[in-house]
Amino acid sequence: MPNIEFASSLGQGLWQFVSYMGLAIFAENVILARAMGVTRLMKLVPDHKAQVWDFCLPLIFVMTLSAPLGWAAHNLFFPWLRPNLPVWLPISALRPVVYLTCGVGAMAVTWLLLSLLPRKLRQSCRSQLSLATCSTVMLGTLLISSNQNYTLAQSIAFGLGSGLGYAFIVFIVREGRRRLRSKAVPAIFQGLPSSMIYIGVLSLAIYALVGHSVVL
Amino acid sequence: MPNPQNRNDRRKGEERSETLIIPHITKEMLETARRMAEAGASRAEIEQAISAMQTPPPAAPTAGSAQPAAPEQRPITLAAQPERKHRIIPTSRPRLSVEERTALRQQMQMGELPGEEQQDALRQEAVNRTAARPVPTWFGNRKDNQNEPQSTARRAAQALAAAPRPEPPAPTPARPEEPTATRTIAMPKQRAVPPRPAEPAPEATRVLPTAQPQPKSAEQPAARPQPPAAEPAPRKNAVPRSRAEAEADLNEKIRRDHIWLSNPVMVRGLGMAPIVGAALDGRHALILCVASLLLITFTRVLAVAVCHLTKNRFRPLIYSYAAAVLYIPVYVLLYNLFGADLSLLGIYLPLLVVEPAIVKRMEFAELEPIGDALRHGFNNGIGMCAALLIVGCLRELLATGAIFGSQLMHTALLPLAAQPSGGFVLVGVIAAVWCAIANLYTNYKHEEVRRLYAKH
Repeated sequence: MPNIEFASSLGQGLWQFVSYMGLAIFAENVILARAMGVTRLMKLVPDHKAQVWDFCLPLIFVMTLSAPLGWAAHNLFFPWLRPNLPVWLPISALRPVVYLTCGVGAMAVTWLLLSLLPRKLRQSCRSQLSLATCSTVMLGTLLISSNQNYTLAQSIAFGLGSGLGYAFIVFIVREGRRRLRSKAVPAIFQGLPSSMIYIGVLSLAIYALVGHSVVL
Repeated sequence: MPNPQNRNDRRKGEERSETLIIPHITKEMLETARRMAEAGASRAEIEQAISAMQTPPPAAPTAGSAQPAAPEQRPITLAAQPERKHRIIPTSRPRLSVEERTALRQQMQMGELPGEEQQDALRQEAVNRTAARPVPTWFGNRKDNQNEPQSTARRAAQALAAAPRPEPPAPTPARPEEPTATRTIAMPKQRAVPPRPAEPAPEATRVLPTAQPQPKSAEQPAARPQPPAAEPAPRKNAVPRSRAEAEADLNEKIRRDHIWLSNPVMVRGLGMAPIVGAALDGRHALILCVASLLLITFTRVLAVAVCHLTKNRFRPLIYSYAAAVLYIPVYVLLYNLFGADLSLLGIYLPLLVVEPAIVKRMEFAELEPIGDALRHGFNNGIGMCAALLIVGCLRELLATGAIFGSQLMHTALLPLAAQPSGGFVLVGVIAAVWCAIANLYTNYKHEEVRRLYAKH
């Protein structure tokens, strides 16, 4: 019987993990639902020199590894720090610097993990690592996880799903951008405007699928 | 079959004077002139003979023909230019009409040679009449700009034609040249009307006349090296000397116009997260404006200062941490200004710390001075504020029919504008219109530069 209970709890945990990942990939996609990382997306889509995985692979690693650090900062560090702060200084003012430090810690671990990759891919990924760390996607995911009071597993799942969702949307927008180069598109809509409208249509589809707007 | 020689090449190396392209003087006339010259005839006699050959048999004299028409006393002489003896009068020169020549010949035959004053007046009248010649319509309406070289050249040609020419040596030493004032009809006097110098083409389209003295010093910097102390300091608003420089200056101005032409949001696509996700109404946009202006400006200054210390290494971390550290006093300031409304912005206020509009500069390797960083940061902040306010107010108007809480319409035209999807679409449309207007303006400026420097 204990084995069955263990398997059941493990299955529930896995299901919960996957469901939060799916939530982060589709329903609460960082780009479509919260418009985070759009600038980097616009840079990645037309740039053929910078491969998508050169940026997205370090991003997924950093977001996954920074999630437990963010959970620890939210549940351990801030409760300890709050009573020690002066009255004039709200705890919210320190959130960016603390979560950014979590991301930098994850970046250091990611830098080591990237050593396992082939040399060429490792170098290209390491060149994009700092940009992936200092991105709105990473910081926004940590802030969302803390605002939603996610558990450790949920935070990790949400971070991993957010990274995968970002890469997913990069590929979708890249394909759409290739088709948007048609001459049928008016000249003034070429480039950024057409891409924004295209992302807006995708976001509208997600909004219609979910049925409600996400919490900011 | 060999190729026939090119007709244009055949004329190379030959004297143009032997080309009989003027129909008014035939070979017969030319031979006559030669024979008379060899026989020792004077210049006036030769001209008179040529004039007689050119003139058709006079018709019955009429009242009109008897009137001394204002003749153009052009120096249409052959002997006057011995080095160009056989050159025929160019057709571009104003020519005398048949009536004018008839009147002049009659005048000569009657011995009524015009005096000097009259010759001067006639020359001036001829010049004026030629200058008043109507411009062909294919020159267009831009006569002042484009026809100026032609008119100037024409004036110069007229002045040159009206100018006194040096007296040619006599064809035969046995008969020295006699005073031309009494024997020729068109020989200009030595002290005739002073030749009007050819005016430089007035630069009607050059907006800055101070550009005139600069090219000399710029074209020959090596020929005349100036001591460093004597060289004028480069002026900030120095006029570009060439079209390439003007276009480079224009591109630099466009690039530095962070408010409209290179707006960080609408043109460069930075700062989309707060624009789309948080600028849902005017008040949110206003809070984001203040936060963005402070963070963009001072983050750039602080990060540049730190990068000067670290020799421009670790730029991403320096920029991000500079923004995160500056976020603390900015948040305190905003909390005192707006109170609990800051919580309405959710994650988007702390997200400004890593917003590309603030930390995009970290991707550039060149390290700018702190003064430039302050100015560029402030301009970027103003540009982002403009975009935030425009998008925020428009979204509020479309979603609720109000602006800053003031109800303007009782119907919500586009409730979707309050959602991120509506924000994406709206920002895309605004960016398209923005870029179209900016492109129109920049194209106009480029065209203006091309017109200004078309002659250079």
